[in-house]
Amino acid sequence: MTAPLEAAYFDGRSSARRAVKLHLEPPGTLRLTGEGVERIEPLSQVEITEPMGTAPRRLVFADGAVCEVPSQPGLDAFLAGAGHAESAVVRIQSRWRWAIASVLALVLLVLGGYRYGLPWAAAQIAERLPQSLVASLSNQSLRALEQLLFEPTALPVERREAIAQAFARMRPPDEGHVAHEVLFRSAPAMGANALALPSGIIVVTDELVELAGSDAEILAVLTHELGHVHERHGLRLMVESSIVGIVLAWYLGDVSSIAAGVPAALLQARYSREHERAADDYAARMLQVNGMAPALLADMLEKLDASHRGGKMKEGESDYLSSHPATRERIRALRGAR
Amino acid sequence: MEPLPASAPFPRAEFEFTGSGGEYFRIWIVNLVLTVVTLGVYSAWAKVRRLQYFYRNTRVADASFDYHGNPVAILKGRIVAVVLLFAYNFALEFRPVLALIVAIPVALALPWILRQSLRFRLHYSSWRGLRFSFRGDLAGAYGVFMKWPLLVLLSLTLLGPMWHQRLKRYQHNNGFFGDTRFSISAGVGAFYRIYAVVAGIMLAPLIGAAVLAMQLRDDAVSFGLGMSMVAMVLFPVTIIGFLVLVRPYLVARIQNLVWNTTALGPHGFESRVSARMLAWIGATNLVLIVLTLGLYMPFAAVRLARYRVACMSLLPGTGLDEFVVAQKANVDAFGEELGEFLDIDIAL
Repeated sequence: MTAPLEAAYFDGRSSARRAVKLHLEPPGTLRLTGEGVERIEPLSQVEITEPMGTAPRRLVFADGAVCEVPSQPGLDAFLAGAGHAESAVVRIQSRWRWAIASVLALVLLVLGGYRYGLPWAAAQIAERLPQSLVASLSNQSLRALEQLLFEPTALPVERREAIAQAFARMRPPDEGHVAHEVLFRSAPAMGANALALPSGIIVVTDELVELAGSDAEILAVLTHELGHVHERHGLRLMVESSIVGIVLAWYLGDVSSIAAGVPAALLQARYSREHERAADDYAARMLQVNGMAPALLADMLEKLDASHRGGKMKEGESDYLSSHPATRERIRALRGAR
Repeated sequence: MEPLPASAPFPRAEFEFTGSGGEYFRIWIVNLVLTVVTLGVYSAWAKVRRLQYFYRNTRVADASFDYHGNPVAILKGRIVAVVLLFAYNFALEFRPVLALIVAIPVALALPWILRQSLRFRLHYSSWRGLRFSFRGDLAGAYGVFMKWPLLVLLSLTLLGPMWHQRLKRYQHNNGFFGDTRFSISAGVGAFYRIYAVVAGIMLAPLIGAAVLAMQLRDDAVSFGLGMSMVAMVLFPVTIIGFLVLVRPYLVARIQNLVWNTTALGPHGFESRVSARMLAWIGATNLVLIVLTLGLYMPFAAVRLARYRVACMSLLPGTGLDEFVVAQKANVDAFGEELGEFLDIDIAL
């Protein structure tokens, strides 16, 4: 039999501390003696708090009395011998190698979750957002853009209608109709550009119409934007950045919920590369279905690229943080599309 | 036991924190991984283990504290809170009118929620085998959590320190250990003195900007340039200044004021937190957390807890064996989790 352990006994009705000896009597009996305490209990009738480092453990008796005893190997061995099993979490927490494995597991989970889980979850959620919500969200964005960037278009109404009607006549590559509406705006600050809002509003700048060599090139850009609408890229980005924001805010706690938005915005740039590729693919198929060449979009991309670089074409420039990454790669893919 | 003479001095009992960063790191990382793997479900168990680690490692007068929160109850509260929060944010984004339908009942229920939170925390804390409890009434909760915030708003924050005093009075005068009541005697003036210093520190950069503006006012161009530079510098400086200097000052002074004027029956407390030490610990913790991508967080938490706990003493007025309890009560976790998720921290 092992030597009794020094412990403290509290009866649960007063705060009186009584120094006691805790006798561990195998196979499974606890005996407390000292300062007016004489108590014998089978281990099965006692609730034992789990070990947590060097924190004391408590033996809680059915009547609310508590015995507080320093954590020590002798106690662990006795409890193990009596068939008292600690939970798996406790065993994991007590080993450094498990802690290190946890760090690695966490890194893998975060990277995997970010790379695969996040886009998947965002796509699922974006798919299920009601159309009315999508519309009101898009209208909010449009209003903000009108205030910040857009000015009324200077294009003659006939020209605008010709483009919009030609686009309306084009067949989408897949089954079903993707609701859309083409708007024209002048945007001197942004230059030649087109953008799609999740509800199907596609805004084309006057500058882009002027840059295009033909209406077919403008239609090619519109098919690309319709690809973004069809694939719900805008919504997915919105959902992704919301999820990243929530997770970062939760992880960093209240330290810097302000700073949490910044990385979220930066991290998104990587996604647009895949989204652009998907939209290009959609555009290529739509152009082919309508008897047009995917190279039209490639021509237009080249012109856009040149216009945003101020006419210079430099090879090998890093496009990582630009909103239209790896343009050359995309142009090559479109030219190769059969 | 022999009866002691009435004037017998009872030795002061120092609070001490016995945890270590390494131990807590292992609990923290396992909590984190399991929370991620279970998509947040484990977070209720994680919270219980985290609090248990800190409570059980806090000792005074030869006994440590314990936390008895039930993870399943906490999980239920969390689910309700998450649903409400998502409903609110979602509605706010798309249908502001619907957001009001969520927000108004929650706002009206908030004092009740906060009282639940206070009750939960104390009821599930124990020392020497006795539970703490909170017995503040609902009227008091609506006073400090609804009437006073409105008064502070109407007074353009001038009544803020008074609200803080009323809040602490509600919290501490309704706290019990066993059947023994806590009481607090801190007056309104003491709170105003602390906040006057805070206001001074906060206003200093503004005054500096005003002085600069006076000197630059003759030259329109450099005035405009100067002002935009001041604005660019002022904003981050104010935020960092608040986090690094003002907050530690406020936390230290309030903790000292509150605990130095709090009694538990015949017993008193002493708190000696230094704002400077708190600022140093906070700033170095922040740097180390950033450098380690967050892995230092558990070490930082232990370091801060060790300092704050070590600054407390219990000044017994009689023996510490005389607390008793006659009645017991159960409280549910609903309120606490709701309070936590709505980002309300009444720890100060």
